[in-house]
Amino acid sequence: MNKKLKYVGKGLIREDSYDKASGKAKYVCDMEKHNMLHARLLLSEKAHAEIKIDKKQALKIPGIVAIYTYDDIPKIAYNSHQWYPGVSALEDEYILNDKARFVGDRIAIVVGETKESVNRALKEIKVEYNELSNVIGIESAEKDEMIIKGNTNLAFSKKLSCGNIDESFKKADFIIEDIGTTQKIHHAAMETHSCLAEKDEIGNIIVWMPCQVVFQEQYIIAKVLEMPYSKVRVIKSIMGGSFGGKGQPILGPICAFAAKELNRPVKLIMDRKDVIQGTRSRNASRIIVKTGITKDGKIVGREITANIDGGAYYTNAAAIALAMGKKSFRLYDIDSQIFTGNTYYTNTIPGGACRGYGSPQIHAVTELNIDNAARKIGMDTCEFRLNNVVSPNAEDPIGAPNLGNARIRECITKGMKRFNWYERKQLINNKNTDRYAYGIGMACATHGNGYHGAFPDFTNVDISILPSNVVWIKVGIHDQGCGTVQTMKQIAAEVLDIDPVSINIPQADTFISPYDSAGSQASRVTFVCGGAVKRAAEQIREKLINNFCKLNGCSKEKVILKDGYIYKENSSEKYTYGQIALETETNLEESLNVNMTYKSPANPAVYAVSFVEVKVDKYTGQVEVKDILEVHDIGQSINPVLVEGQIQGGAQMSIGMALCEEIEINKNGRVKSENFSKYHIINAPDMPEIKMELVEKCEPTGPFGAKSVGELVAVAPAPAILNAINNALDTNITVYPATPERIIEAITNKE
Amino acid sequence: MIIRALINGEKINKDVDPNKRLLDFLREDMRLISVKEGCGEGECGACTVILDGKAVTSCTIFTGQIQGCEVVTLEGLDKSGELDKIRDSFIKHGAIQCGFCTPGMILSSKALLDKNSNPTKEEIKRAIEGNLCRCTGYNKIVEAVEEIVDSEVK
Amino acid sequence: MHKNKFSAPQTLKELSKALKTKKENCFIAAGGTDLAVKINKNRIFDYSIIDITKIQELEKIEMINNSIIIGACTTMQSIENSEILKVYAPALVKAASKVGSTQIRNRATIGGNIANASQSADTLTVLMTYNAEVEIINSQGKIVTNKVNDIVKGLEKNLLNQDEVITKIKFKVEDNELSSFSKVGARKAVTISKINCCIKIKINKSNLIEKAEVYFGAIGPKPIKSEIVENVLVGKKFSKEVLSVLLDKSSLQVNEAIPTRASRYYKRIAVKGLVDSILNDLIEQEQSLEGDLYE
Repeated sequence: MNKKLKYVGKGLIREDSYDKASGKAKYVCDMEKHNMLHARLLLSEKAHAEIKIDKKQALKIPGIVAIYTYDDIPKIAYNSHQWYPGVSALEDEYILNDKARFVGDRIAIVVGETKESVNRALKEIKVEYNELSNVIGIESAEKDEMIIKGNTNLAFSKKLSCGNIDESFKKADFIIEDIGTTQKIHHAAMETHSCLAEKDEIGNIIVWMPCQVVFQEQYIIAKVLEMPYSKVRVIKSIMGGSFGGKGQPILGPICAFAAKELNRPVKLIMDRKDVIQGTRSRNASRIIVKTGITKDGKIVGREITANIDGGAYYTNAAAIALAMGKKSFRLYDIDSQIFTGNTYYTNTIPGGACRGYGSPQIHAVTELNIDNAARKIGMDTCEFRLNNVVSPNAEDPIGAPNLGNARIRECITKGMKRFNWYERKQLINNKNTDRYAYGIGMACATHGNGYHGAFPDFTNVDISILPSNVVWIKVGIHDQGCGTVQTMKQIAAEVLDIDPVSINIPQADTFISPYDSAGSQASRVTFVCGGAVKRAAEQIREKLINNFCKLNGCSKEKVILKDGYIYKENSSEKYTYGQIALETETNLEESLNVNMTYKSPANPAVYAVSFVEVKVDKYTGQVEVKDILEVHDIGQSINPVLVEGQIQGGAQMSIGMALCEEIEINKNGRVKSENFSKYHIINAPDMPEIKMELVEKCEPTGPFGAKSVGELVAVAPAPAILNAINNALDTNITVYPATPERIIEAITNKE
Repeated sequence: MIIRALINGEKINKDVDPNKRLLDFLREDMRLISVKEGCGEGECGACTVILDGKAVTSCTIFTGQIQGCEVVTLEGLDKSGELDKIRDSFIKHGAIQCGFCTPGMILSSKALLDKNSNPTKEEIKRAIEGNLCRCTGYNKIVEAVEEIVDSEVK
Repeated sequence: MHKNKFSAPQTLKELSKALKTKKENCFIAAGGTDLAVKINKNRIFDYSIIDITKIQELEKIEMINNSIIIGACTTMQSIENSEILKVYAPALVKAASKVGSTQIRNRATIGGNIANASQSADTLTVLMTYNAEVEIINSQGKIVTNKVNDIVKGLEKNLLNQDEVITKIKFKVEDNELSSFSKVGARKAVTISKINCCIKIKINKSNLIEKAEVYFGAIGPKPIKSEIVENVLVGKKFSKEVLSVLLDKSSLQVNEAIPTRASRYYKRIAVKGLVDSILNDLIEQEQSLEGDLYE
């Protein structure tokens, strides 16, 4: 960046924080409509069963308006992962399902005048379960003894490869093999899932909900209710966190159905137990890695097999396997590599997007394997990685988009320096006592920037400058809590040289926002939507200048835009942009407006490195993260305060993955960790202070050089922590989370 | 049952179901929507209110139990002006992302600051140990509370 | 339909009267931190509540002669901050400080912790170490005294009658007594005990351990007394020297308590961490005690 930036790169305050800090922000749970009904879902208590539902008694409860089951709903199957009809995926779920396929499956909805009547009715519904044998866990699925649907539990399988793996392994001096597993994880957004739907006076269905892709909700709702898209209005509400958990339509279709049937507003809320059991989870996985290396520390070949627990419905069976696979080719420069991804049906919570989408799982195991490889030849793990990481602008070996300005090397070297890597490595053991062992570890990670190269990745922007001197930008964005709106404002403000406060960007609403191809997912928002907003702002800037020239008779070269004013060079007569908008209307008979489509030009990789020091209690197995440094290659931060917030929050999730978070499911399919007393997320006393370093080397294809950060943040800390634990204890723990029990087991086995 | 209590500085005298959770009473009967439900078992702290000067989870209290007590929610702090400093610090530090845990987080911090105007980092963490946040990793929240401390000391 | 009732007696007399009508689905509410959750979780709709938090005399902490008397409605937060208890029952202070979160400690009561009788209740382990008693009032206004150990069945069951309520907790303390508590859960703070431990010792003038009481919690339906560990301590010189035997015997105790449970592999090692922390804490307490003497 040569030009000095005025708004981009500044930690400006986001506008929504005032309402949030005063408790005035209204989430769906806070919304009320005249004549509104309350609803809750009845979720299956059995993992696999034919069901008979007797609702007679429940319907007698005063205030109960309706109870719907599979018998009452349109029999149109859908796949909640599908965000537009072009995504081909097996459609195997209904808005209420015919059979129980996991504990948490939607089997009925109860609608009533009050919350209490609904809760009473839920207790009175009699469900007769005719239990079938179940499939819990990947190993059980692989056996194919009980088949959940079709003729095998293998829902999806695919190989990705480059080079010749057999030849490369022949060249290897050593082949290092590791098997690791990752757990099912709950997104744990503090706001539970919720939805409010009503039918308006002309028959449109209007749905308010915290979601990530309004056009996906619109598509699925229109499909299952057999309505035209144009009659379904989905409005993204203020969102109390998502992390992918609110990405797939779960409540939208059923809530819209009830509102349409009953012709009254219906608010459907889940409690925490419902959300943990009845929505989506990060896919669990069992990953086998074999890495061939030479004595001098070069990776010559790698074979990865990822077996993935897809859960009871198809949802993202293909996407999760491919996401894991593709990441494997973009961190290290490996000539020959083969990745096989197998996703299985099981009678457990279906898989869905979860911050990092496959990256946390694949790196969780491959990064432990890299440490073991380095150890094998007695090489420092950082040096081993430096020997093998990709270089800027490298091509993807399996034909995916170019890696762009990939700065993983700087991340490692910068981190080593700040962390004082060599010195600490020497001295760490000096801290050990009879009871406590200390260790350091690090790990690298990569992620993407949108769908370019795989799916259509474009967005439309409608930008206007209004006579009231407001820049109004309509673009289909969904702020999940991370400050997306503020990011977009700062990008537009930089182009237009105007205070971001004068920019208004309403969030996604299918009746207002121009179409966006893929929603706020896949780490595409800053890179793609931000790129679109920048381009649109440039176009309206151009138009503003042109019109100014037309209206004032001057040449473009002499026009200056500064601090929200436009004027001729050396002139004291300054105009607000709004004044030019008004004159444009009056004298040129048009709006000061641009409508445009922006296609993502690239899909560069982002990189992160995590450095960690841990203290392990060899008696209680508890691990304390004593120090943690996160180094991120992000191109350019649009708002550093928001970037830091992402890194700190992502670390919280990843530390939880490393140490304590797990949706535990027993052999009957019952979820043991059904609420926060048993599903442990990292709280304030356990959270270390996160040190951060940003590598800002400008990604030429991103807006002002920016690329993604919000998902990658949740990847590297977990393997770095396990590497540090293994360093402290001289063990090879590869099972996530490394609970106290597992740590003690590892120590005991070693002895 | 008639409940008499001081809620956000206002005397109330209201016929309510005393067996209802305080959380539901505040949200439904009093329309104090800053009080959020995140887990319903006292584990997440989103429903935190200040009851007679102490931070408590309103999902674990029966409404009848507030008879004769004082309850403060974020709306009350806003009204009395006591929110200003703490809110500004949260905003300035970027301690707010999705905002769902924010009311509880602010009230737990406020209850601490009222008793201890100069808490240490560890004391701040302990005060908010029962407030879960998935967005921020707590770092900026702790910084925001620390700054209020610093500014009051100066 | 059942009419939901709510009463909040202000005196013990009013409490007895209220207890006269107590039937199935009538619950005693103190802090509510367990009860309200249970009612919500189990979708219980028709119930009555007797709120005992308005009985002021149940919130006192007193020391009369050598007895500590704690009102049943005393919160964990009050126990944690009690100057009396900091001096005479440090283990109880420590246990109370590790119950739930700040918000929970502001409401949860010691009487509730006993009556709820959870297998991982932290204060129970301490109270049993102190051989504490409870005073119980019934609907006739009759007050009886019973050992905590005798009214706690464990696994969330107590042996109180339908019309009985715990009003006070009493235990004796002695001079030169040291005590400490430690627990381990899934997290550092706000966590349910996987195993907890309380040790109380009395030291004589020649620095020998004269008496020792040791209880382990969460390795059975209710805390268990550990004679194995007590025997290691009694008659020994009080110092770090006892540590290694102590650790081994604690492990042995856990093994004996849960010989078949899968959790034994973890708990028999984890217990060493608890005992190690407790011993360090006791040594610190003793040093400050000596410091006091010299002042």
